Amino acid sequence: MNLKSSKRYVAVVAVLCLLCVGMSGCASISSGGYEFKSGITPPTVVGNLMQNKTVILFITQNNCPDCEQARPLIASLQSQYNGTNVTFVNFNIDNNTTSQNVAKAYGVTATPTTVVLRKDGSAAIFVGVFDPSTVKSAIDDARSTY
Amino acid sequence: MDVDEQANKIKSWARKHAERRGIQLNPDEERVDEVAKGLAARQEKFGKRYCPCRIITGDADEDRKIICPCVYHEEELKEHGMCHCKLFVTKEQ
Repeated sequence: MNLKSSKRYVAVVAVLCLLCVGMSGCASISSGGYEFKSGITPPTVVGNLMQNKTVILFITQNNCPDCEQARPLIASLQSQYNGTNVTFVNFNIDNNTTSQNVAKAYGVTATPTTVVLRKDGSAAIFVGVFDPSTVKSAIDDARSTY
Repeated sequence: MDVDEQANKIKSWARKHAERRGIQLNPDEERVDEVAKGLAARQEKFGKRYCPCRIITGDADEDRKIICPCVYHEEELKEHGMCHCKLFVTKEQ
């Protein structure tokens, strides 16, 4: 194989690799600074909530200062979506094993973690005190999938 | 020892740790109080000073990593100027 055909071969392989990555559906990156990750099976309790509703999970625990700091931000977002098909659910992992299982399913290691779910179950995950406008963009993005 | 006493003890330990490492406690004293109380509550409940914003898994090896000062705090200080709990911050903050 001469140099010219080698270069062509490398270029073709590179284009094929890029196409494979693009079509794999592992993750779709939004221009809004968040990413919806697929491949997570929603736990039953979450799946049940997702019947024609955009679901936002707010995962917290006791004695977590950032959870308290983020609580009014969630309340404010919640009030902005009053009367819509957006549902906000707080899972406090200190309260029950259901909440612990939800946290585990989404790979939560720190709190607060806010999870915005699209209809297909893909999830945008925000760890810590979030930027409300970024989370709002993710919610609007998720709503558009219904 | 009650939680408030324990929290005060944790604050003086944290101050010394910060001095030794060339960092500082968050200048926001209210924040330091909240984190210290969270650490004290966890020490009381679990016997270890687990970071109050991190999740205890039940796996001893994993959970050892989140005993304050957690294994992640130095990297977080480098990247964000503060640890996840915002107890420790760099001197530039």
